[in-house]
Amino acid sequence: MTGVVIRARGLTKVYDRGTKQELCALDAVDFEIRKGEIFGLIGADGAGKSTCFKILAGVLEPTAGEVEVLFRSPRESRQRVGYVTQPFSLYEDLSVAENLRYAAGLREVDEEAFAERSRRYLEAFDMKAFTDRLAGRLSGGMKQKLALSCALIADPAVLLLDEPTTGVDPVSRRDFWDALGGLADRGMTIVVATPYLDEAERCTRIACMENGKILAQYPPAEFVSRMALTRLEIRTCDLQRAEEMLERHERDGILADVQRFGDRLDVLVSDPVADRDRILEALEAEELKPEVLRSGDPTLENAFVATLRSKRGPESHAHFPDRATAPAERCGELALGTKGLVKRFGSFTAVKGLDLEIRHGEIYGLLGANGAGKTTAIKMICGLVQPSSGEISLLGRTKGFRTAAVRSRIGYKSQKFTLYDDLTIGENLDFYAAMYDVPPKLCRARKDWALEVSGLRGEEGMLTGRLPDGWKQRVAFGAAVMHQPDIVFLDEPTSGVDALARRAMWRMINELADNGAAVLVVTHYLEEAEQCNRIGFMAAGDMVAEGSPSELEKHMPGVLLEVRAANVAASLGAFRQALGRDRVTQFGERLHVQAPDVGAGEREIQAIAEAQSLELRSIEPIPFSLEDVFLALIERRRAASDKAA
Amino acid sequence: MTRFLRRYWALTRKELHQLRRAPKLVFQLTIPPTLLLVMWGYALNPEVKNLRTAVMDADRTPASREILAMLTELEAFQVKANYLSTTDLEKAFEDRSIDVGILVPPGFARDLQAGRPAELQVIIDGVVANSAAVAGGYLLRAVADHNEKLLRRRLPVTLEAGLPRLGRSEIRAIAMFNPGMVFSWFYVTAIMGVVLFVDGSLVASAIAVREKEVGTIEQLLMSPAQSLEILLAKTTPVLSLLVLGLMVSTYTAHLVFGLPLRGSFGLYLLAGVVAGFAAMGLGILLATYSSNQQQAQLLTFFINPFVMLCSGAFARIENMPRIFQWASMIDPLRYLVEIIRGLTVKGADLELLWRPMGALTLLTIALYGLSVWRFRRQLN
Repeated sequence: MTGVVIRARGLTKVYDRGTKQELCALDAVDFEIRKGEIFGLIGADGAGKSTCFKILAGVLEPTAGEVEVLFRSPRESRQRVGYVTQPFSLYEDLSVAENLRYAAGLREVDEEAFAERSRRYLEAFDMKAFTDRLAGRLSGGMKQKLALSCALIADPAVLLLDEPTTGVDPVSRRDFWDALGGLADRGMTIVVATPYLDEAERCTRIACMENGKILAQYPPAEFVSRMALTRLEIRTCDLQRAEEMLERHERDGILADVQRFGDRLDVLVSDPVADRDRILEALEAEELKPEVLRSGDPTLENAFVATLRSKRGPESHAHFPDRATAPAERCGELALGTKGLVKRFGSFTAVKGLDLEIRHGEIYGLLGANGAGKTTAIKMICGLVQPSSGEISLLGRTKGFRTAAVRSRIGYKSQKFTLYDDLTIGENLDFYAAMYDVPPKLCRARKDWALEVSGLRGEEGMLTGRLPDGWKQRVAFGAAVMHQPDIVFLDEPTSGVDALARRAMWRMINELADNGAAVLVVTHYLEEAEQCNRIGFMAAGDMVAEGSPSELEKHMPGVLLEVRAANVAASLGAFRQALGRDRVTQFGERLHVQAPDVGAGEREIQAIAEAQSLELRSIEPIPFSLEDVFLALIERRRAASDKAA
Repeated sequence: MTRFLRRYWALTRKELHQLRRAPKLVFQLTIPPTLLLVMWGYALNPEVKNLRTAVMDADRTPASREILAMLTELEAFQVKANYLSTTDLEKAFEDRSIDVGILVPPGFARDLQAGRPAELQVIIDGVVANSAAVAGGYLLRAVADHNEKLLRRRLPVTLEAGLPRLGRSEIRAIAMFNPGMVFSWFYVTAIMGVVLFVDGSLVASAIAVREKEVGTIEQLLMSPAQSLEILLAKTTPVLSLLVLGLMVSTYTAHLVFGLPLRGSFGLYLLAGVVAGFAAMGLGILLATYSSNQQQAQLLTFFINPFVMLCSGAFARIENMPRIFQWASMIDPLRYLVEIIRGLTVKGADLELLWRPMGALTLLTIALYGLSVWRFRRQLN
């Protein structure tokens, strides 16, 4: 391989040193990044990723340790480093071309090089038609591609990307990552932070960070293979009971991990045959009618959870302090429904006749790209926005439900932050408890519960503003459900939260549903959607598809094959040329190829490989992810509307 | 009801916690109004001293010398010249070498002796209107004092004040309640009303739009709390500070400018509270049309000058163009200033003030009600 471009040894950064607010953001971090690598930094908000980027970009001096970028100090190399931060990288009131020219001017790019590069990147990123459009009018994904182009205009050798796709929808994210893959193949070194695990899989190497330390750094596949475990997807007739039973086994050490998803359990075992039989036997003895859907490698998320757990110890399983009496009886009753719900803003129709039915005990995921109408829909149901037409029923009422009494039975966590930064954590929790009329004698226990599940026990006197965003999300969630609501609305509940904390949050969401609450989760985070019992996909104001995660996978035509090749860049080019761009996606060292069926796909791939004399290491069928399904649905819809037009 | 109280208390406590962590705001609401008031009171009313004065005694009698001596003894008048002809006096005015001329006409002593009103002419340069008015006030009082003395000897004097650009009746009207200190009281009472109103609307728009800016508004609207509860809780702590500020500045005005509170203190407090609600209602209403602090502040800054202008706080409403006079009818600040002046300077009671008090209350209910109505609809 080629040489090391970025090297950090004992890198340490302490903020507010010697004061009461001293904070160690980076704690003796070591890493080496080679030319042409995509190096991913994965971790929760506050793990130290942004500090690391600022040091590499030369805008922040480390407290201790050595750091070298392109064989010099970061400050000296900064003309050859491109840096994209999540906010503020663009001037929204300048056009695409003006933004590019401004970036080029700052970096002293000469006229000829500017003309050549701006043409090249605008073409590569499919933005040629939009050069005169104001940056503020671009979609989220386009904005990020423009920010990337601005960073690339000076032809940097190193690219630093701090959460470049947060808040960008899956279609645009995939586009963006395709662009990154192409740049890395041409020898650019990329360091990227991301909260999305599907993006992490597309990195050459990833470092898992927590509390300013790197816990582990390997290629994604190695993260998984080092676990030496097998993942079983099991379906039973009563997930809650099965989960409780298997958790006991987990504590006895018979199986490594059990996690509940929308309509299945994921179980990690060390022996794929013997353990599998033992689990099935135990479940059958309880008459839970187990059925193994699939067995295979653990996911990257499993690997992160295991990594975090090994450092942090087992997480708390705090149950809700006082369960409502006989709540499960309500399960199955209709909690909320809409019929023909429409919202128009001027001539633009944000929601086009939405029909929705969510029952008590159900977790429903509303998915879609930015601007698909999800948030407008949820706001109409909550009464924050007046619908243009259509019917809403809430807790059995179709009228007169905008009252304090009904609102006190609803829990709501909006997309933005819902806590007051200038109150302490304890004051925030007290406030919501009183607002929602939590009986005073239960307040203390519920507050302790909320602090426990946020992992902030003993910190209630801390000002909320000092918490990283991801931690705020956890407290806000606790605050939103402290009053045991019958209906819970969660808008992007886990953004900025690490894998382990996300799991803890979903455990609570499941507990709420088991206690009879109806939960509506709005997200464009597709891994999260797998946790839902039912999912609805929205696109351009319409419901495109609805069903359980496994039902939705059936929407996918054909199969997905994972190909490992000796020369990834060459193979990607060859496959894309032969099969079409949208059938091939790069995931780090692997390629995903869509095919009508396994046999035909393998033959097709072998034929291309032979013709181009590419060396293939393996071809394996793998399950489609929900993201694949989502993208296919969008594509199909686009084709249909093109045909209609 | 208990639920309402519990939520109201939770909301108020939240606002108090937030206020406690923003000591700047507390400071801003109580200290600057008082400072502003003292500054305006002084800046617009430097105690009139050392006016360049010329005297012309055409009577040349003991009586004329007595009154001239009495008048020029006042600190306000410094005798610069003693003329023998009116031409010289006129010339001195034209050269702007003097500000005040005091002329005792021939026959002054004779008229006094005969028991007829004796005339005294005073000419004041009206270019410095404020000083002129104050000087005129001083003279009136001095002559009145002198009259009293003479009355005991049955010899009254009339002052004929020749004030270019300032009618004499005007001075007399104000002077009835406020001899000598007309303008400091006029401005001080104006400032007290204006500060209460402007501060109230600015702070209210800032704290109301903050919820929208950080995104807590949705959470708040989704909670069982009613808009009225939310807004009452937002209003309470700030309103208390505003009224406290009003009391502090009233007392300061009393100490520094001798402004009396001749009317009922209870009524004064009530007017402050009601006007505070109107101001905050306006601020919240403007906040519901803004999406961030900047917009809210700009909008409030845009509206407030109109409110001030039409209120008659700084200029007499009767002198305004008709359209402003009409606009002032729906200006809550107009009634607040009217009530403040009524209760302080004039010593009026509810019988005299029920009209402005009623108008202020109606406008407050309208403004505050509108803001409550808008608050839940602002996300639409």
